[in-house]
Amino acid sequence: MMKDDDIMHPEDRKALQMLHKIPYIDSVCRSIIETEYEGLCRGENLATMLKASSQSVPRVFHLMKATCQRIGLPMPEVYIYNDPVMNAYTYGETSPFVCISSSSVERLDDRELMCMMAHECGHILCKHVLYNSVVRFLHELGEEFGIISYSLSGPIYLALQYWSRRSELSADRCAAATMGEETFQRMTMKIACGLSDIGCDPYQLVRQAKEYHGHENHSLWNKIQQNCRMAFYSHPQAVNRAWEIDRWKNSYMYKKLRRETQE
Amino acid sequence: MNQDTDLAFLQYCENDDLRVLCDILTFDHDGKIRYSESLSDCDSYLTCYPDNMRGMWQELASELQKFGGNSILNYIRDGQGPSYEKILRCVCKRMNVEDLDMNDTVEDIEQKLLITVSAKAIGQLGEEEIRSVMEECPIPVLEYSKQGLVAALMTLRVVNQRLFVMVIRTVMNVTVEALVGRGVASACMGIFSRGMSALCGPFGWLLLTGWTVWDLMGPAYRVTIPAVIQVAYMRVKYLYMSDSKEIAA
Repeated sequence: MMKDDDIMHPEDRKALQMLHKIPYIDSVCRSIIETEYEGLCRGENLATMLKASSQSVPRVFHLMKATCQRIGLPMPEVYIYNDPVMNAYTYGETSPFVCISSSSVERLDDRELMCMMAHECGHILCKHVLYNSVVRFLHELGEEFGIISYSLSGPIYLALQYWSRRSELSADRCAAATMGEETFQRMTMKIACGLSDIGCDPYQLVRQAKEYHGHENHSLWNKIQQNCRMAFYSHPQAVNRAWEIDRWKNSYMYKKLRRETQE
Repeated sequence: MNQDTDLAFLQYCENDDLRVLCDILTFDHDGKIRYSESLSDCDSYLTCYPDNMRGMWQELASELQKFGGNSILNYIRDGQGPSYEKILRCVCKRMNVEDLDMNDTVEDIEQKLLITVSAKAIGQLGEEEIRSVMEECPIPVLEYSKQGLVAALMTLRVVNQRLFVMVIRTVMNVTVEALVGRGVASACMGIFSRGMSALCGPFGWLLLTGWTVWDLMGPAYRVTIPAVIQVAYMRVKYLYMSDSKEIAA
């Protein structure tokens, strides 16, 4: 059974430790999720998406079941939504669910789809959903409702976006440990380009990452440009995700988890 | 990394000892990751931790040096920390190690530090713990007392290195955590007493801000004290092992 400590990226762990220092943060986040978002989202899912079961889209249902078994996590509800963009997300604290776009189901093969599911399970395992609600809540208070000044909520929001990017790396580790780093690289390539046929080299993004880092570090101006651009992203760039997993594949923890999940 | 010859012996140390040093640098005594550490995300850590620690001895040395320096000065030094000897002397000053001489070698200073730390640790031990330490290590003493153990330790440093290592290890296992905790607490008291100077008006606030920022950027004694004690212990052990091999050869 996988534990959150096994897969957590150090920066993600540091940020979560810092969040834990805020008194009552867990209970406040949990009540925000339960009262505001969880019921609302579940209702919306049931109303507009297709719920996977052993009768409806059984492939997705069985793949999710197998993924959760490998990780050692109770199976969440799975929904399919209509979207040409390959993506997936998870939400919920008391009864989490995973939503997967129709294009992901169509264009990813079984192993890659399980890898995507394992990524979402990684978020559930690390309790990212709980703290992600703070990001969402601050964003709404600051930008959409204008209740608190954006100049005040902005820096906190940017800091939380930084954590959000790091949390994605933890979830990526869960995906790579569950399905293997090669499958992860193939999945990331498919999501980056949106194609189902990507050829036979799964490490193109890793090579591209080295090229990107060369470009980024070429001058201070390039570095500032790239970092300013990235500061507003909730997810790391595809090349950095590929590169991080390529580094992590040499670690003791990756090898240990691979042995365990393959048994 | 600053090529510090005083830390080059780390490449010959045992895996478990290096792992303890690495854990001191990356985790606090509650097992939580240190916010300012940069080790756990480096390539060598991913590849070497926890089974092949010798492969990352340079990164360990570099991280220890960074923790031992002021962040601003480290930045000016191109990301490098001060020399190990400088850090060691700072730690000794902090731990009130007496009889330090400018001509002392790193080995001498470390042994003095170990004796001071152990003497303090022994002072915190109860009668039963003293007895168990002395019985665990075959120390030739007449009485099971704190004074007896400290005296034995100082004699063993010269007479019997193997027993010296053994006693240091046993004493450290029993109490070093308590000592480290106290070091942190006394640092916090320093910041608290400085807080009182906030009452001195705007000039005091300015002084306080600069002082506190400089202090926050300064050497992280909560890390360097246990790390240097561990390095000192590892060196004593390493020197003893090398001497034994030479005698055997």
